[in-house]
Amino acid sequence: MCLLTSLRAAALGLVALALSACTPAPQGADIWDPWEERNRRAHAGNQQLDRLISGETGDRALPAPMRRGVANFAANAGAPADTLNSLLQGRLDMAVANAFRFVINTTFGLGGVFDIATGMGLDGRRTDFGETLHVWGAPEGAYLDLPVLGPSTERDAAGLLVDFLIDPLNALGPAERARRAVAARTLARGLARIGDRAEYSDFVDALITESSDSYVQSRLLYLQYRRFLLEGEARIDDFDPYEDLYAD
Amino acid sequence: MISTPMRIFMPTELLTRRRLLALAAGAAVLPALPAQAVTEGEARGLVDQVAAELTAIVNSGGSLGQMIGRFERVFDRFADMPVIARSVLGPAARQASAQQLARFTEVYRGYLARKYGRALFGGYSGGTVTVTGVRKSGTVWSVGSTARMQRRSGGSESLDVVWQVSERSPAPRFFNMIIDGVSLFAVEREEVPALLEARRGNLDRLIADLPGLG
Repeated sequence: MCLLTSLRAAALGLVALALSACTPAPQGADIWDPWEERNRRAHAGNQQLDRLISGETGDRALPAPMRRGVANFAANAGAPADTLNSLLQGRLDMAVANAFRFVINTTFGLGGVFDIATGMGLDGRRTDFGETLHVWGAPEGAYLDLPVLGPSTERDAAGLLVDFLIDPLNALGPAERARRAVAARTLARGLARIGDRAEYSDFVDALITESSDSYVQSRLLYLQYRRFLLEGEARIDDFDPYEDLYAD
Repeated sequence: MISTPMRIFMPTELLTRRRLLALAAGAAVLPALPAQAVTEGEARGLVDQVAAELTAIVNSGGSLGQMIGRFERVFDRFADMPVIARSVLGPAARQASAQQLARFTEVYRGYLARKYGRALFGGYSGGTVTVTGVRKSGTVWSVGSTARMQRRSGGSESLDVVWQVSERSPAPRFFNMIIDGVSLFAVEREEVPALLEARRGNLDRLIADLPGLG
């Protein structure tokens, strides 16, 4: 236990070091992608994986009626981490909401398979340590396309690692039970991704899979959507196409 | 001089030589400023109409093909398609003939409707779109709206959709929609030049291929 704690502390120190060495984006750059070559290799692998899980294979792996339950379970098992991150972000109301959701759905929703809390009007907010870093003022860093995990940024990737290390699910209940809960959540998250791929297939196919350069499109969609989630509103620039028109 | 009203509905006898000179000088300073800038109320009114039409489409219970057909008419009636088409082509638009541009605009509208119609209506069975507010940055009105949508698989979700209208547009028509932070315009300004490059810059080939894409 003591060894594990010091290992965690060492790893956290590494993350802090990595963050301080975050590739600085040039001023005004909307997309900062110095790792493009490496990213494209990972993206090519991810697209192959995508072809495996999309279409009928995905439907067979996770039939539509099961999707909701699996997604609920994965989300609920992430609620303790949502609670911790909400606290770290100073969002007390969201921390309370996420904690209550976890207790209610775990107790009355068959371990989280049913989302009773939303039915009661208790909405939570999914978050992660990447967002906590954003709230604390860490820069986004360079764009990353991670093997299997997909689009990310240097800040979000550091967040993933920290979330893994400080996961409060590990501290709930006896060690053996906590390990089983984490394993079940990992499995559910993987399945939920297959379910999401099927659920949003129209969107993903139209905008990414069938585009002429799926790497460029997924990078743009991820960065714009992630910034929207973190900033709480769409970024508006004052670009006016009529300016170009009249400049002719 | 800049404040010279640029309305051209004035009796010809008022168009003295001096006035004409003044107008010409004003026009040189501001080459093509529309007679009247699009107002906040006009931008909002446009998006109210678009929101009502989108709400009608998503609740129509029609097939995806029918919804896409109606969505194309939304682009036709409420979007400034010639400006969008020119702008997403980028530098290639400057080398294109007026006829090529017109043909491209026509097929590109269908491509947009198919691509975003599928992305927007594919997973939903109903919903409402309501205008939430207007803000201005530079010369652009950004009209915010919220789409509360029901998923076909049950459950619901909320999308944040911003419509952009330039006050320099000759008529109140939108040139961009931003869905949950994703700007259609930004996506298309990457995609269309890439489509063109895949055809060695041959615009006629792109015009021929677009009806099969999206």
